[in-house]
Amino acid sequence: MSLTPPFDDAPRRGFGPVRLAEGLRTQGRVVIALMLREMRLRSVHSRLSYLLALLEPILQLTMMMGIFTIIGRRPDFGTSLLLFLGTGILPFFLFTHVSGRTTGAIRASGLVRALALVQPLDIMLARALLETATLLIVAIMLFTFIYATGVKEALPIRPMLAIEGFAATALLAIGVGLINGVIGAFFRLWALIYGVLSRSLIFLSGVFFVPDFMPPPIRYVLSWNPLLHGLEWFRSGFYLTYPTLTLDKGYLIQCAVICLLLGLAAERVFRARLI
Amino acid sequence: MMAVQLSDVAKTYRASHGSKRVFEHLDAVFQQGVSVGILGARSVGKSTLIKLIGGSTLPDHGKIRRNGSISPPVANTQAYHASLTGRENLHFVARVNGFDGDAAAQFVTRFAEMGEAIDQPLSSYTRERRSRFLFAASYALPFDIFIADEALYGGAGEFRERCAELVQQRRSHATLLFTTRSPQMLRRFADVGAVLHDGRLQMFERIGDAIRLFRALDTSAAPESDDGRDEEQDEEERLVDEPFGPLA
Repeated sequence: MSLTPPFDDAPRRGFGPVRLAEGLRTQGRVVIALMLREMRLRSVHSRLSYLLALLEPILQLTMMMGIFTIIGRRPDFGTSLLLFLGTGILPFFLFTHVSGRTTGAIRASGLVRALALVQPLDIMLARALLETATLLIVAIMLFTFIYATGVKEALPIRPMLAIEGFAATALLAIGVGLINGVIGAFFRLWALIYGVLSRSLIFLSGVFFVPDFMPPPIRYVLSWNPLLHGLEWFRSGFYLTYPTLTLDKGYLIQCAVICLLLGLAAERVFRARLI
Repeated sequence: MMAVQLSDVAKTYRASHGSKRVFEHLDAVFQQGVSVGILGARSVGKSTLIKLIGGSTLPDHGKIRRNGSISPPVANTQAYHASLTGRENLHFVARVNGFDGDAAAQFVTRFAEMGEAIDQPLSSYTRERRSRFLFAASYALPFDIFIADEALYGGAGEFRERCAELVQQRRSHATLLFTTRSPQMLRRFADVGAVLHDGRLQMFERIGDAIRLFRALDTSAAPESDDGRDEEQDEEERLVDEPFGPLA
């Protein structure tokens, strides 16, 4: 193997656009390498394990469907209970999975400062993005499956709204995930506590109900939950006449950006101590 | 041109009982293409210095500038995952640094005579194979700067000799920075000698001067005839101390 390391002709200084582009390219390369490694590590024990991660939300939905069918519940909106729950559970899973799995990312990777180019932020981002990509595949599988069961509305009637809702929820989840990642690096138990807390959000995020059908005082309290807006946004892409009185897109995006900035700031402040 | 520059670096370790200051105002410049051997007694901060240079620990304040890509410390296992195969681990490190993973895997297979084992998980390697893999992998990628803490080459028998030759070969194309307690290693692999003592790094154009200062400072330094053995022992210890990263 020939070995001729590329020597730099001049030391690079300052923050010109060239420098920025170069930095972004390096970061992208590192994050992609980490994502590939993470994906491979998930299927170490069995080749089925990654497939199971894809199927998990679908299995949970099926179970919930079973229970609701037994107690004879009708969908709050539309004609298909399966679609109503599916459009609720998917953004909910997107949020809990992405923000939850980032919590232990730094420690789990075992890579902290093993390589000069791999920084804690890259590790957290890689996991969050991999989880987002996984949920995107899950979404496609889930709605194809619902469509296959004969529910024609499973094809979003306003796809842009559904995609925007998904993206906004993902942004919120990544922001919260970054904050979690920093807390989790100091406080191991946080993963467990956050897991319980975030799962209990299922009752407050409109997975089982339509927020606009709630009495105004309750609706007001619920509207503080940014995830609820993500759900509303996503769902409004599937139903033409879905009531979106509560939906405040600006609020969700503000929350997401604030979380993202807080997460990045926390990473910067504690960078030297992130194990 | 400089490869690594440390300016006014301070590093303190917090321990359970009080803190230990390793460096307070450390300044150092390592030139590109020059191999520097850093001599130092036990616990003067040799490992900390290498970690600072490699970026695996951050200074409390001060600046460290690196020019070019820098390798992880030679034979360091931190970047590898025990349940991934040798090839996958190499690909990961190559991908992060933007190098060709296939070439690296091919090189390691040939150089360490791994055969099929390159596609087995690292956790299945025997001790000898593991150390061969680690050393070959350390030099498999075309980094601009190689760093090593004590262990510069290793393995056993004929491989050990080839490994030492490989270090010489890499040294002629890249910058090599290594710490050691053995003056003999300095004579063999360094162009410039340096002595780390009392939080200061002193560089010497002539290696003999560095060795003389080191001997004067460190009366407990082993006599030269013993050095080879000493080095070997150190490195064996390291390999036992550092198993592969966390199991999945």
